[in-house]
Amino acid sequence: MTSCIGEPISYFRLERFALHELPADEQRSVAEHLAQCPSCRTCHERIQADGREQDLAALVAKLQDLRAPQPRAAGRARGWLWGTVALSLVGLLAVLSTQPPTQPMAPGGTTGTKGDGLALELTRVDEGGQQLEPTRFAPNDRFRIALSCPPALAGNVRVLAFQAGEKFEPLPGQTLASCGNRRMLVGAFRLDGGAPVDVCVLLGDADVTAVRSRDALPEPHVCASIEPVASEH
Amino acid sequence: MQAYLRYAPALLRKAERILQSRADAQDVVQGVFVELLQTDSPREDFPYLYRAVTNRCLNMLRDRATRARLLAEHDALLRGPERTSCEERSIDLQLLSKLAARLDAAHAEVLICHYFDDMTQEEIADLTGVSRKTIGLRLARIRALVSELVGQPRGEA
Repeated sequence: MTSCIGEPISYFRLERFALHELPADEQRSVAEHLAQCPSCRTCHERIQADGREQDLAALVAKLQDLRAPQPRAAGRARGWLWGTVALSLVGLLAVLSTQPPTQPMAPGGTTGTKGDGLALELTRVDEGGQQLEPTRFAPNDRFRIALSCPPALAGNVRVLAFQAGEKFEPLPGQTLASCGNRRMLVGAFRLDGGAPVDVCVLLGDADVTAVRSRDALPEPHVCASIEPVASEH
Repeated sequence: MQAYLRYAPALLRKAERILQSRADAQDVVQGVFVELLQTDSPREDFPYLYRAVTNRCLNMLRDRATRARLLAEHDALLRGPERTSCEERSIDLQLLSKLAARLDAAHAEVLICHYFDDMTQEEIADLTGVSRKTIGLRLARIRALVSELVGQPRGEA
């Protein structure tokens, strides 16, 4: 524990100070405290040196590619528009935070392909970066999905996983404003359990309530399979 | 979107300080914004988002499977410098997870505000909209529980 010269400036106030959201008198008093207090100054310097603001600035340029999505219902159009923009932004942040923004995404991962231009790449991610060519998963391994699709298939997508006769949705439904090569779906998910998992991306709004296996999925969809580590033995 | 650009870095730092995991912090902040944008009139002010991150982190710690994984994999360096302690005792992730399991939501939020965000009683009162006296009582309860959990006599509140 480090000692403050008086009452520590909370992280909440330090962040607001960095954002210039404090009233002018508070902004001044925090600045005066930081000038005298090495302990609080260290915390403030960690905020300044964090560098994620630069990552976010780079994201703004990538947002230019986003177009209006295809809403599921007219009344939800505005929500989906903002949802898509935000979801894409969050996903891009997650990608950037696991690799330098200037470095192209490494190829690889468990891949499912179809003849109609659909491809799904499953990539394991952890705090050290991306794990290429994952063929197996350990409990709680974290994965992301890159989807390649022809332009005509842009729209709503759902991610469905099938394991031991059970179906679940590891990621929220989302909207691809455009299709193309290796579009990262928003969010990451974890796999668990001792049975192989089929991870599928279904494009469109077909009803899959009764579907219990990848073979019963309507078109268009694409799937990739991954085995648990335990099944190696 | 503007709120995301403006506040996401601060919220990520906060979640990392609590969970000590970059990946889980990303999940928390992502979840906050996804939920935010699914509401018709989203609040996008920093104090509200800050509290939302606190609550999501606490939910993760209350989930038994997630808690076990966090305890096994956490990076203590993400905790950052500590300037506030409970009776000169550091609230580490292990102790935090025990406290989160025993405290109700209101007490757990005060715990995070005071011991992880280094907020004063006045700041917590302003943020949460309850009186300073109530915050003081909640902190006293937290200190008592810490003493109970670590097997030491209760210190002065």
